[in-house]
Amino acid sequence: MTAEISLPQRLYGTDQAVTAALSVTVGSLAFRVEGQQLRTLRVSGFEVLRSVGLVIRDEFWGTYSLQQHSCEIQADDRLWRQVSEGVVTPEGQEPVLDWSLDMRVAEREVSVSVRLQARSAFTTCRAGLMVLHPLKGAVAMPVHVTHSDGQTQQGAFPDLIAPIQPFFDIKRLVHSPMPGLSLEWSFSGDVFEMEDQRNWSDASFKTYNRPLAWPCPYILDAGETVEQCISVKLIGQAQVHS
Amino acid sequence: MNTVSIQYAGPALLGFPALGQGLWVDRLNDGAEALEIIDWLQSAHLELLVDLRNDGAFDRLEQALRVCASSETDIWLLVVVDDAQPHAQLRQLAGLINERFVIRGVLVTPAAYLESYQPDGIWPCGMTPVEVAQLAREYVPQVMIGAGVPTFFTELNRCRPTPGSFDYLTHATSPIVHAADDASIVESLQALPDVFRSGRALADGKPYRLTTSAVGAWRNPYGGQLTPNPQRERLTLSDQDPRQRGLLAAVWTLAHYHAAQCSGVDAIALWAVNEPFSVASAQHYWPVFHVIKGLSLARGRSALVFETSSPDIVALGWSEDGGENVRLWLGNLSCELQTFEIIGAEVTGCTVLDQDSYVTALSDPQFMQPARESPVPTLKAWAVAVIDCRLTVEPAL
Repeated sequence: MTAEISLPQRLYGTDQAVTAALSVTVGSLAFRVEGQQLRTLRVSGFEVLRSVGLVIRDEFWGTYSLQQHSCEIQADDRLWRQVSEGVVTPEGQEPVLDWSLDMRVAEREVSVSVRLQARSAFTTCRAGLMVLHPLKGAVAMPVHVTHSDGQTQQGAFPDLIAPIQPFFDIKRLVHSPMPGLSLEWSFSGDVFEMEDQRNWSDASFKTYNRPLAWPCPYILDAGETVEQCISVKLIGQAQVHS
Repeated sequence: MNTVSIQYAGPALLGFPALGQGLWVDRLNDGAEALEIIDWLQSAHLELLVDLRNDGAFDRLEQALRVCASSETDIWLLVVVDDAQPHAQLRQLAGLINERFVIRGVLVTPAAYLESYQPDGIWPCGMTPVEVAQLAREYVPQVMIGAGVPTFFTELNRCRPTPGSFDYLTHATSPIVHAADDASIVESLQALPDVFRSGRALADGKPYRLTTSAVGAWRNPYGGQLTPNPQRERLTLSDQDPRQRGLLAAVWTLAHYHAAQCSGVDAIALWAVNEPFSVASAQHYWPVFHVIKGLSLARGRSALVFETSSPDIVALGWSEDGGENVRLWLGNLSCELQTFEIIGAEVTGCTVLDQDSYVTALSDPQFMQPARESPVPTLKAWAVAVIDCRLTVEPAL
């Protein structure tokens, strides 16, 4: 019996197929695309973005697999773009949610937009876009936050792990993960806040939609739509000189 | 392909954490298989988790303690009690252990605190962890009283114990709360130094003991139930993670233990001697079994520092005799073939646990012994090697 153990079984204990990763470069940017996530985006080899993309949680905080029906990629030296569409289908049920995702990477700007529409009442703990900021260049480093009312806050990513969200109601974040490079993040379509993911031994800070203080789980009614966008501008010289 | 250099860099400032495993009292059955695993691993301690609210809990706990008593392993308890009326359960626990069993420490958790609460949310109205700890100290005065949680660092961080009220601090980790893909599991290792640094700060100078941690999650404090995973797929918040039986878990375990050592963790329990995180079952000795069994030999040894030129290779070693003879563990934290060279030490023997030796190791609990043969200086995907070598530079460099 043991001689028939497949290589994936020996490595991972399962024959489950994994999402194929696509490695992409746009100028001095390099990143991977895995399903509906951009991952490990590097500027001249330095990681500035752990991941950004669409995450749909179930009513117990489990994560749904995103079934993809179509995916179109356009790429040239200056721009990479992926437009994909699909559904969320709970185990043993009909599809309950349609999603469409537009991810664009240019040498000085990354943007991700999503549109969700519930086919029937959809119960979720969170549905939308999130970004993971890598630890290196962030822990204990300054960050400038703009809130939805225009108020600004000069703070810092936590050093020791923060039990509460370090920042609430985020419209814009500006920080410098490496000398000569600033990142200007913009968030729209919902109220975003940040969590110290190290609490769960994830190597990132997470900026996500929908405050945890709001009722959870919540329901997207049949026909209800959600539109969100996260973008980041890369400001400085570090991204153009490797 | 670049060659990764592994360079001896002198004695480590911090010693090895005591290495143990978990034991789920409610899932012990007759205990025979767990006892066999305990005998093989010879680990420093076992962390017994039991919910004293369950029917028959005390009978099963007594059975588990008898199983453990036949080994020389230290026993630490994690008990869950009723929120409002834990007195009767603690009284019965004291009656069971005070005269018949040697218990090193106990963490008592009011059941409501198995769930997670936002710091500014509505917290349970029953007894708090600090209050039940005080109560436990009255009932079992000879036993060290723990603070913390049997769940994850988050729950500890949001419900911090009062300094001076506890004898040790504990919590667990799992890398699949938020993401369950292979890359995210490996990335989570980057967060461990910050977790341990923050945990040590909360320990306030008292021993910092990580309780049972594995790739899987034994509990979901955020939504009530674990993710059903009958096909053993890569799913978040599941206690049936497939990697448990694969090579990835072995190298993750090596790196996790190495991170604990580098951060001054006093003790850590990785995986378990029975389900859900058993390192072996039905005479199948999963890769993680071999790493755990091999690392248990680090106890009492002098830790050495080996620097690697790539984050894809983890290196951990100790002096076998206080001198030049060294046991070195290497792990490949990637799915790529890695070529390495060891600088400052001459290899005298090597055994590699990888995709080629997986099947042999599966049926041989003594597989991971350094053979007296020259190693091939490569590690395939997620491979782990145990290497004996002789330092060619001064041991106290």
